[in-house]
Amino acid sequence: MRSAFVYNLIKYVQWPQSKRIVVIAFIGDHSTGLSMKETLEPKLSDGRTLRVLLNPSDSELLTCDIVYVTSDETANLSFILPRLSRTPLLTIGEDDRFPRIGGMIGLVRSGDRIQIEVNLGALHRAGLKMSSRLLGIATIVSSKEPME
Amino acid sequence: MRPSSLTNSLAGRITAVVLISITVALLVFTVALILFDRVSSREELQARLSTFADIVGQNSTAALDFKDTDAADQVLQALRREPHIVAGCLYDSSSMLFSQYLQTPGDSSCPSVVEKLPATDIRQRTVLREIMRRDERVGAIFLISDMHDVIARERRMILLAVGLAFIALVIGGFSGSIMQIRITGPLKSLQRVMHEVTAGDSFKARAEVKGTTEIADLAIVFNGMIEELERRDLMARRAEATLHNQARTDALSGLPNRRLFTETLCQAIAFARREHRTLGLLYIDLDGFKHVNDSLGHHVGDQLLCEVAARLNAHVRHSDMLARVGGDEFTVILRSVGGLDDAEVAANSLLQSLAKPFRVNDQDIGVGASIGISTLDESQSDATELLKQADSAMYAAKRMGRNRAVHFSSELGNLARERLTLESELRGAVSRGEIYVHYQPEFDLTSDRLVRFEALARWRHPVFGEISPDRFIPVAEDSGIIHQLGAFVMEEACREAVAWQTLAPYPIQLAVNVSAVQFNSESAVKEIVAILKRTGFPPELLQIELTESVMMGPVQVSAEKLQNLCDLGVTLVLDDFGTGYSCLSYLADLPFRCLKIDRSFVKNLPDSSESFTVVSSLLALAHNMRMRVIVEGIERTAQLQFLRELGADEGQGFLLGRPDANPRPRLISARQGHFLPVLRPDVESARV
Repeated sequence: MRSAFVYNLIKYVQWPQSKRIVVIAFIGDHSTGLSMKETLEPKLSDGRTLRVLLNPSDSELLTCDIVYVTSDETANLSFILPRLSRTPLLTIGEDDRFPRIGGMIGLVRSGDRIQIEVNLGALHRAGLKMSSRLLGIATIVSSKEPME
Repeated sequence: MRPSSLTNSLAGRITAVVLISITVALLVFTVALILFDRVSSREELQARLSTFADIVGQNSTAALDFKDTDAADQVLQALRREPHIVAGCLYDSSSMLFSQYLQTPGDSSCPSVVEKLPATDIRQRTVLREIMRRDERVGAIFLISDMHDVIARERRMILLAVGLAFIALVIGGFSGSIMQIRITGPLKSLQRVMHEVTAGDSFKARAEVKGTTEIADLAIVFNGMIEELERRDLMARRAEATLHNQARTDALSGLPNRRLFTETLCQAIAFARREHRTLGLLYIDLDGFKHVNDSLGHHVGDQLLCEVAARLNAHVRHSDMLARVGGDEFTVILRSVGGLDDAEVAANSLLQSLAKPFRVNDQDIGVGASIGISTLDESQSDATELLKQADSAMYAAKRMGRNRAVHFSSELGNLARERLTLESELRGAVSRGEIYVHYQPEFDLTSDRLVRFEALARWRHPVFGEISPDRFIPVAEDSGIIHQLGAFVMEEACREAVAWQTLAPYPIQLAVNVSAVQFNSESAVKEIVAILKRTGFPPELLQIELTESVMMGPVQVSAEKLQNLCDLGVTLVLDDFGTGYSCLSYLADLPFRCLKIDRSFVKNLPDSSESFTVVSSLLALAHNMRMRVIVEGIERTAQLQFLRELGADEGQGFLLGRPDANPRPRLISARQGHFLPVLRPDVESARV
């Protein structure tokens, strides 16, 4: 379900450099990551090839374009996010707190639907642009707890 | 019939054409405008719908990507701002209905799949647009719009166009009428002028030059046409008048011709009968005109005729009419005369007018006329008869010695017949020896001496007996026999007179009458000279008596002849003085030595004071002109006595001696000293 969202999200995000391969770092439980990898890797998004790295190392992390963090890893977020803040890296989380603590997009479950929450400040700081059409269906949030 | 219905008139047609063309133009324009607006508004609607569809479709991509129907609903809600869009249907990539917007739910609905789109309603417009992200089909959007706005707009448009068309039509009609008035106004005034010209006789009317260039030009051309018509009409009238005049006018003199004369005479006779007036007719024949034509040519003759015509015309009353009816023949219609006397006065006035010689081609030409007078009274017949009478009276005037007027009388008719007989008889008279000469003595009244004998022609016809010279001399003159006759008498007399000279104690003169006709012949002087030579009679003893009518014809020629005779030594006497219409000033310049006063003046002497005045005046006049005066026709002693007292130089008459075939005894008694046995009253009374 969230794989389809990620897949679609990529269509609405513009990186500073155009990408031929979009590398997604998956941080979370392996099985979920594996199913995402199986879902996304055969697909092309806007002509770009998708690649999913499951729980990459820190150095690998820096070569990625998207970091997907499952809700189980939200506790580690305060640890992960500051390291990524100055790179053009799109961060997607599952928790509704994720965009509020420095993440960019939260795919938050609400009943039987998934709500998209976007932290525009974080996106801006990372030098990423998001299509306004996505913003039309997303909820805009901002960082309530700025990092000290 | 003049077509005047509105449709047939220019004004109506102009108005109709203007209105029809404006209407057609407006109709085409309006329909075109409406159609164009309809098409364009529909195309515009279609374009707008497509644009809406594209915008809404693009805005729905994210909702479709993320299957977010709420978001899709929200996006579709934007269509609410476009009231004409009644429905918007959003389909996902598998063509299934994903979200829909209905303006009024229940009115319409979206088909569940794209393929099942409803058939396009005529009052609705639809658009189906694929929603694409690059080459990827994201979904589709279907919009339905109603046509209320478009139709309302079209209605407004039609209303506006019709309104504008109506206003344009009114303005067009108004300006059309003004144009029509400006065009037809001047045309109508042109028509008025044309009507004036057609209806009236006058070409005075002119069209006013106004209106547009073409109409003004038309008016100018029209005016030109009237002027041309006027000119042609004038020419035609003149030509007509000229023809009419030519037919009735004598080309040479400009006087009425015989035709007009005859017409006028008939009218005048009818008028005179109605009004019980007496009509007079004068028939004038010029004396000596033939002589002028023969000696000076037709050119001078024609000019002379013109002058004569003019002078006669000046002496004809306005109410009367002078006409030229032949070569040298004229007539005068006297429309109203009191009687014979009036007609004679008129005739004599005409004769008087001719007395002064005419000057033609630097030559003086004397002209006389013989005038016949006839008058119409109740008993008389028609124009032809009247003319015949005047004509025979004119011949009588000629016979009586020319240059006089004679009134018609029934005896004249006999004279005319007699004349023909006389002429044929006279022709052989000289050769047959029927002509002989009588001599009548003439005496000097101061010395009582016999001065001369006058030779007088006599005709003794074997059947008719003695015929008076008064009767046969005019016939001889008319027929030309006078030349032979005159020459014979002169030669006979000269021969006789030569013999006298041996019998008489002093030279006895001979007086011979020479007719004007004779004198005017070219060879007249030559013949006289020849006779004198043949007979040996001295010219100094010859006295030639001429009447005033020798002055008929070219004065210069006559004067030269007279001078030639005078130069020979011949004495010239003016015979019958006082009866003609001589111009005295001319007589004074001619070499006449002597006047012979006509017997008619002497007849009533000494009792008539009138005759006394005439004779004494003539004597005084002659003496003033240094001429001697012979008085003829002395029949009584009282007359002789009286004439002596008045100072007459010589005398002749029955009292003093009758014409006699043999004058010689008288010569012998003259030699014996017997002058005039009857000259003294005492002698006469002593004899009685």
